[in-house]
Amino acid sequence: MNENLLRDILRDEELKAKYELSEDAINKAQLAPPYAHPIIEYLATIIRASILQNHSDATTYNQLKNIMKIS
Amino acid sequence: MASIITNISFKNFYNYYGSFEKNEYIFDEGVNIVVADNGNGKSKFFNCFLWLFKDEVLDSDTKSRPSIRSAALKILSDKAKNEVEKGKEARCGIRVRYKDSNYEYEITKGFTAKRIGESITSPDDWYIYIEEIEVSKRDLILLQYHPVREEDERNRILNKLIQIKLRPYSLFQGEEVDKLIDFSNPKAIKDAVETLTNIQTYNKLKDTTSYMFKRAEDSLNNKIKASNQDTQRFDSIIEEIERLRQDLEIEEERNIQYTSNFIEYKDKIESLETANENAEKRKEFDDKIKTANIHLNNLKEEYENLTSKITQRFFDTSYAWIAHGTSQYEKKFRNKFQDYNEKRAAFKLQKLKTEDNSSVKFLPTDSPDYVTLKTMIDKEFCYICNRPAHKGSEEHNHLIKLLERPSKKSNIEIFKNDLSRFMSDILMGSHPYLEATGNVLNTVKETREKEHETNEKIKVLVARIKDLKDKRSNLIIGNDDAESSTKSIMAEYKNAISNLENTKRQLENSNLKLQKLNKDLHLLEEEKGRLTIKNIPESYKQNYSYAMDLKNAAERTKDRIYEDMLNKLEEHANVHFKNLIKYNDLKGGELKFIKSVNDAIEFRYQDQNGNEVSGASEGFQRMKVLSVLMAIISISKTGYEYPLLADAPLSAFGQAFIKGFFEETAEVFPQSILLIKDIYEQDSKNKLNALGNELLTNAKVKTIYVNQIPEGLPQIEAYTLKTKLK
Repeated sequence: MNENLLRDILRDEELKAKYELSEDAINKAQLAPPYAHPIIEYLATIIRASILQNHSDATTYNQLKNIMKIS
Repeated sequence: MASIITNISFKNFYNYYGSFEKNEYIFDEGVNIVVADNGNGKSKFFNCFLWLFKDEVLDSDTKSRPSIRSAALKILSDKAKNEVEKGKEARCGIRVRYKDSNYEYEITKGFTAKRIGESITSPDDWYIYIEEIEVSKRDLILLQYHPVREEDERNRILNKLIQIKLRPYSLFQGEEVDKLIDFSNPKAIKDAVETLTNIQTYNKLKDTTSYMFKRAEDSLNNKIKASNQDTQRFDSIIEEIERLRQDLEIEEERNIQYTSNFIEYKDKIESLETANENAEKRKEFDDKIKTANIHLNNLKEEYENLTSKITQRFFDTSYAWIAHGTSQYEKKFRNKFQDYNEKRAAFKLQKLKTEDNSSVKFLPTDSPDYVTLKTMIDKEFCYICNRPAHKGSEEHNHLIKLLERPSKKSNIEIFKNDLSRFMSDILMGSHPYLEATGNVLNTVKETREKEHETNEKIKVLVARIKDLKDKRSNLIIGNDDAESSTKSIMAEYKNAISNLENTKRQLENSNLKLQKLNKDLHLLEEEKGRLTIKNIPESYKQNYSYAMDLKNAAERTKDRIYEDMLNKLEEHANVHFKNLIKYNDLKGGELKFIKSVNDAIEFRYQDQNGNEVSGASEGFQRMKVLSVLMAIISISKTGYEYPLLADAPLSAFGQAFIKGFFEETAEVFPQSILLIKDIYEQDSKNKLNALGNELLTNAKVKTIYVNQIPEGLPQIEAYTLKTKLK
């Protein structure tokens, strides 16, 4: 179900165009690695942490900081 | 895999007297039916679910839902209570087994009742001990059940059977179906959709990405401020963004207020709609009653005139009713009159001939009267001549002669008692009447007819006015109808419509403003993301850019999914509706869903031309609710994972509806256990009617039980017998 959520967001026309996401990449997108594009990993991290694991928003952002390597 | 109930059993539970083994119902995936006539244990069966999930039962006497503890004595089988000796105990309980893809679970609830007095109904004579819930589970490939001791795990197992938030949609009795979704409330459909689908996840993700964006923006801003670079354009963009966000916040608050007003006025209009409609109809009735009353008064006046003038018509020469039947007497009268005249003339002639002309008959004027003459005779003196009139003298004899002259009376009898004139007057007076006598019967008939006709018209009009007044009184326009004036309701309704239109305009303007502010904000945010600021690590900008793009994408996706869902909801609901009513003669209308403010969903039931259909039967109304419920469930990508447990859901349905219902239910719910009487037939050998027997051969119907209470047993001995037909 949550992978459908991930793919539904990735199917957004503007997002798809900006990051040149192919239909194949979207259809194969999963919450777990490997990721076809960093934006997929970014979104998958949000979904996994906030929806699947019910983490707080602050914890979820910390996970994003980790994958973006920012302090 | 969905949760499938495999077994339900009772121990001394109402009429289900005896052990769990004696009262065991085995169910399967698909449609399961328990058929029973009234009083044979359907609602009591359903009470098992209420006990299981809510620790309460429905008391059919009081229509209340008391707790198990307070209802325990009623729940315990009368037969079991009666058999327990003083000081001994009886047990009562329910047991439900269900399975998912890996395990089978067994949940048991029960209580022990110890008899301490004589009465089987007085709570004072029984001591009730409510036992702790027992939950155990076994791996599907193993035989042994293991008790579950942790409370959290027990609750999880109970909730897995049917999630708490889904119970209203999965567990209902009779007319509760109608309350599942209140079509008049757009928020109700939205709530049902949000509960039964995963649309809320998109909302949650939208909020989460929005938070991530704010944090990413703060991270970037902090980094830029720390870089000590010339960030003039950047600062101005931040300033501009801040201003726009403040405007956006203000406008959003206004928008919320307008939305709230809009909903309030809409609710107000909906609540006033019937009253206003009734008020308008009342006004129509008032006008009709007023006109009818004027007409009635005119008719009454006409009738009054007619009846009061009936006496006059006896003597009115135009009608001459009094002369009716006298025409044959005219000739007789005329002949008698002629005869009279002739006889009288002859008599007069004869009289004149025999008259003694020697006597004085008439005296001149101023002659002495009888008394004077008598005095003069007695006094022997004539006062006229002023000379003596001695007795025996000529003068005295003359006086005597005068006194004894023939009487005046006899002359008058002969010459003055003439009735000719009187009779002539009668003849003349009767003449106009006699001319009209030929038409008396006609005029009487016409008058009678006119009276009858007027009277009938009055009766009809009085009945019509009464009918109008009755109909008018049925038009309720307020809680305190007497004080609610028709005009004020209509004015209030008109006012609410005007307010709604104004608010709608405000809301539309506000939505446009919000759109523009959001667009401007997005442009600035994008520009900010594109700005190349020295010494700022690319990862910060990338983080900002990802967060912003995902926030915007999540917003758009939520709207897109919502739109898609609405279309699918409409499509699925119509398919379910068509299938549910496919065996009915009447062709139903179309179900329409319209997105309203704040994602609320308005529902319409309309004909092929888009006209709203109202006044559908109770069965159709219930089918609409079920269609929408089934549609909401079936549009969910994961499908529904819980059983449908319903007591008398078909009570308002005809056989055609019921047939459609069974077929369609199997398509939506992985399992349904339906407690019904609608296919029961007392005189049938297997107690099923034609449709019931048809269902015996339907592959989607997996089990059919028939419940019966053996005839002739006193209440205290009554128990339910089950027969498995399939």
